[in-house]
Amino acid sequence: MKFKSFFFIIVLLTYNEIYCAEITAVSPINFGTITASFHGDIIQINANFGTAPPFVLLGGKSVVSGGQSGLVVLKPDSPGQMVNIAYPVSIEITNGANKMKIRDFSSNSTQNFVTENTSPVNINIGGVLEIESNQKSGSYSGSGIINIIINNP
Amino acid sequence: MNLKKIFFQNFLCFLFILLPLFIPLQAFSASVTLDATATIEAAALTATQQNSLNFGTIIISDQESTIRINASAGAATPSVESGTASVSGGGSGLIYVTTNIDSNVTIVYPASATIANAANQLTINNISANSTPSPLNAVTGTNNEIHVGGILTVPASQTAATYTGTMSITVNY
Repeated sequence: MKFKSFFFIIVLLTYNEIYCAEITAVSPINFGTITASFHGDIIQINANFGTAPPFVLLGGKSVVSGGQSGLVVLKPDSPGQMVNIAYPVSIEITNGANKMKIRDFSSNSTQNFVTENTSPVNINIGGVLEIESNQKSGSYSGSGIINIIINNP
Repeated sequence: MNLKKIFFQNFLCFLFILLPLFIPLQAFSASVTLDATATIEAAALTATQQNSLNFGTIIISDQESTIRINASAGAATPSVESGTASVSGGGSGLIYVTTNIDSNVTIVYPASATIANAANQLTINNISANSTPSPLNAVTGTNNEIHVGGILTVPASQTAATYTGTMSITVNY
């Protein structure tokens, strides 16, 4: 009798698997050093298709140097995992009482995908930085939460 | 205990204790915090006088004369606009503007300026209309030029002497 019940549980353990994934924030999104026009400007990082640097939107007079899209690496546990990424609508970066807004993460970053194998996948993060007219000089920083939902096959 | 009872006990154990542990997790979520940074530097604008505005040497006559330097399209020399005076030498003023970003720069000229020798004075008018138009399209990596002119009125009885003065010209982003 004992043998029969043990066998029953062993069968269950063999049948079921739990898929996970490992997610690591590797590098921040960095809009670089911006010599800002007094009239304000829009700086964009379009990381839809991979790592990307910041650039000034057409017509802007500001000058930007350095900077790069953010990077999160996802290490899947199985092929066929559906990865849904929920970016924040916007975040604020601040320097004391001064602030700037970064928006449009979703349209400038890696989109939802399905894992093909268990190799690490780069999630590149871009966005749009709003520089107001007469923006104060300084180093601005902040953070945002990215929710990653994984549906197992 | 019969076989049926033992099986039933195992089934209950599976249903209420073990089953939840081994059901495959269909979806799970994780959050990751991403840092964001940017550094803002102030744009810099400088203006430096290169040449002073010089109406040259004017020989007056018995009537009022006006001497004009029209530098609205670039460097210029004085000419007699009205009256019978004569003028030699002189030239428009020149200011170099440098910037570290491309930008339209607003130039604010004074309505008039006075040059004097002791108690004697002369007035320069129409400075804005005779100088580089505002706004100036200033670009990086070069000396952007502001040429300054105006109209000097010289009365008939003006005391012969060297007249000097200053004016303030402001450039803004």
